[in-house]
Amino acid sequence: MALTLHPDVSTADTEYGIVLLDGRDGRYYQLNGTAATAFRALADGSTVEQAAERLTAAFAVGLDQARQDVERLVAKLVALKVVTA
Amino acid sequence: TLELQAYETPEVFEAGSFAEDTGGLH
Repeated sequence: MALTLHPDVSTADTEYGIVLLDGRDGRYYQLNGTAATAFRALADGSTVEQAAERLTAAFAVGLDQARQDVERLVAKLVALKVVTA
Repeated sequence: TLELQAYETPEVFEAGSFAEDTGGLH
C-alpha cells in the first residue's frame, strides 16, 4: 500500500521531520521524525511492511509495533485527506 | 554495530494554517 500525495499538498523537510502544506485550505501538518521516515518510504512506493522495516532499521522498535504504528499513521493521513492509499 | 535512535511513536498533527498566520494580512 503505497501513498499518493494529494496534488494540492506540498511537502517541506524540516530539522524535525516533514511539514505537509494543504493548498486547498492553507492548513499545514507536522510529521515527527519517525512519521517522516515512514512517510518517505511509503511515498517512494514502499508497502506498510517495508516502511515498518525501515523504522526498525533506524530506531529501537520491534517490527510488530512499527507495523501497527505505520498503519495508524496511514489511517490518519488518509483521514486528513492529504494522501490516498 | 548500528546505533539505533530512540523511538517515538509516529505522529502527525495540525501545526496551523496560513489563514490564521496571515491574519494583519487578511
